[in-house]
Amino acid sequence: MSDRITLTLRAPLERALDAEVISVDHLAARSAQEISALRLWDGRHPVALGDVFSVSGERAQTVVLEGDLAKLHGVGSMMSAGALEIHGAIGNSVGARMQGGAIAVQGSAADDAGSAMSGGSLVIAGDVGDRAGGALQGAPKGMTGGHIIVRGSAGREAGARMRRGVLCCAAAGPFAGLGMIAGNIIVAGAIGDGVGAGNKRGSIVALGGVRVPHTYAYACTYRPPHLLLMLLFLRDRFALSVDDAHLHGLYKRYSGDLAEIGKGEILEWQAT
Amino acid sequence: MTQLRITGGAIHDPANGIDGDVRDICIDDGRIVASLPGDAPVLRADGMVVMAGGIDMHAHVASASVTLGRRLLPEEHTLDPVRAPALEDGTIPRSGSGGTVPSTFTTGYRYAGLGYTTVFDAAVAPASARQTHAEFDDTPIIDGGFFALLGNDQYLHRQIAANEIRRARDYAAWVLESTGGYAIKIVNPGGIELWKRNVREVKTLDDPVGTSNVTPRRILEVLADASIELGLPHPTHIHCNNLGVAGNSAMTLDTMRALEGRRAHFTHLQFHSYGGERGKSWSSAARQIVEYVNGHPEITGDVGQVMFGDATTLTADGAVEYLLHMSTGKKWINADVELETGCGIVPYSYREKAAISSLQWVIGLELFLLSADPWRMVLSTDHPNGGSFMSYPDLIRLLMDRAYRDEKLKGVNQKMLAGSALADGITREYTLNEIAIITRAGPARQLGLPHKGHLGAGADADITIYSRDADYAKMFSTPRYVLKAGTLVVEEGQLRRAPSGKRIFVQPGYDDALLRDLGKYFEAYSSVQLANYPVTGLRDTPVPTGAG
Repeated sequence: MSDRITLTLRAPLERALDAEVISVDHLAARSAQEISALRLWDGRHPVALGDVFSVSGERAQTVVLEGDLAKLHGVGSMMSAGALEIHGAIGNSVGARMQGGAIAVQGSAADDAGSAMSGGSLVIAGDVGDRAGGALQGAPKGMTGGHIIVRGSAGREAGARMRRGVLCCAAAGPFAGLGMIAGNIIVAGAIGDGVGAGNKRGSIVALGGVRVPHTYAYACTYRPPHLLLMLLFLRDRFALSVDDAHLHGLYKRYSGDLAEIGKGEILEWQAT
Repeated sequence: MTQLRITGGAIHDPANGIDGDVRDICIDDGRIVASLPGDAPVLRADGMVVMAGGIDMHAHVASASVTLGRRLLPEEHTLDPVRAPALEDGTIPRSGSGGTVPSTFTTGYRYAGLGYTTVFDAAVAPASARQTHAEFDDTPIIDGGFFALLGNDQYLHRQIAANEIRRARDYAAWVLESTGGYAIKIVNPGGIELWKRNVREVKTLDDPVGTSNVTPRRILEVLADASIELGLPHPTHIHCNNLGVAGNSAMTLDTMRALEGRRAHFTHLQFHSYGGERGKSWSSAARQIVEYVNGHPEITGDVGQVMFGDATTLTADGAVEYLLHMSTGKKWINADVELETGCGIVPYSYREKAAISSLQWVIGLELFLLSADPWRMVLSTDHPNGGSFMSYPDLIRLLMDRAYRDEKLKGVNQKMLAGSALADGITREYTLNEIAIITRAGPARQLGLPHKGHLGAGADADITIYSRDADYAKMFSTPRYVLKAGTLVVEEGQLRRAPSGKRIFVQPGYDDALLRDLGKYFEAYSSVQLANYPVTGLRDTPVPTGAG
């Protein structure tokens, strides 16, 4: 029994590896030897985890990954509990379909971070690629619960087809909230074009300005009480820096996407 | 393994009148024989239940539409990846994907894992028959065949319009012969052709399809007669008009009456047994449909049970898929198979909480439980339309275990169930022999396959052996042994061997005079040259047709 299991990359990765097996669920109950024997996949060929990582510690609810892992995909998939800390960059689909627990990435993450996640928290200190909190290829629903906090910026289609949960980022690329069904997206800075296209009932909060699409209609300017609560929660829970001006400021509400059922909204903060 | 004696098992072989007797089953060179020398190897099945291999007479497993379904649902592949099995026979094991529309190899492995050894694809557009053969080649273990879609074929309609009935029959024979099909299938007679012309609904059997000479009634008559005159082993296989529409039972009964006295198979009757009125109300009309089937020994049916959970609706009946897409907002494929038919696909979920899903579930069970003759009302879920074939064991439990069924019934939406026979309480429980009838012996008889579905001398040695379990779902989901043509494919519940299955097809013969006219038609309208159309190179022996 240790307080943590640490996996340290032995040598820089030359090829992409599928590492769905690296999650607290699979590692927590195993000895260091058993962990080393788990299989990663290089295409259709299995690779022993122990050949790629040196393993220290065993039987713990906290797992730490060290190294440049930008070519390591699927880490934390379907994780349901425990803590996974990634000291470096990480590849695609980190925390995809995760159900609980906490994943913290100190570097940046590539595409499909938190794809179809249903619970837990995924906090990324750097940037993320495309479709963070989005849907599995072909699936109608993106994330259905949990929190994704991106301290850097998100790529294209952040929160696409999102159904529930919260996605926060410092900036977002084009088509944030594409085809969003419900849920909350909060963007502190710039947002790309096409925001909320096809949005049904989702809420997109723009603190740093937004070009509202023509399929949204201005409704009113007000102080959304729910937003105060949500921002306070995020500040509390994830140490998000939130200005008082955002907490108590006025927001323009735009209803949309009116090319869809139009029950969604874009809330644009008003500088005073 | 050429010889094997199975000893100690209780034999459930209704085709030969055997109901649970303990007897030996002897196998030599892939077939069941009357006896074997005393030193033949033995497989002990003491205390177990022995049946013929299961036969699925109506599923969608190998066709262009199935592959369109696979392409529509990549998320199912992510959610249900399937590892290659550990095989011992030197065949290359293949990984794949599951979900409601599994990949080809997984389809074969999973059917065999359930003790099914013969499966028919119920709807193949003749133009895409090559695709079906290619997919069956990649679907191991099971023997496979398919039904060729003809009810909306423009060449056939032209012959009916011109009252060239002999030529229509020759054309049907030519289609079967050149595609390697097994039977004639009609889906929504005339309705798909009308759908292509933006007519959404067939109101009566006498609605004109282009010309007043061609009506759903005429299409049904001509093709039912063709099957009879060609001596096809399986009669015309009919998916009636107005599938899934409230009040469609009247159309279903009209169709049955239109063919009164003729052999015919009516498929997935659950989807055609709705009372009520379109756009207004829904109710069960299972009793009326079953009473008609009970009283008419010339017709047979399969149920098309709905099972709660995910499904993929996939049919030549494009119009119904349009309705489903519009009502659910789910993704949709609509395709036109040039001169022959159409295709529609929409993923769907049947939920206990939903009133219509619950009614459909109840109607299916009523068809099973009110049927007087299990030989003529057999098991199907119209996989993957009403549910995956993987749900068959649970369906068997619903039929065999009244307490389980009543408990399940309490948990479903009751809104539309008032007055239904099941809600009023049906005590019937299927016996093991009746299960053997609706899953093997009955389909074999309906399909006209004398070597399948039973355990008498001369039958194919397709055999499934189950360990008894009070939970019938468990018992039927994990057979202890499965033999396919004498090869042990499942041993101790594990898939061990995956030999290729055979193709089941007919070559009924036709008058060559057809080809001159057909050649002109192909030249004028088809994207394919007539000479390139027929599938060649089928290795297996066709099933005989004709009066003999």
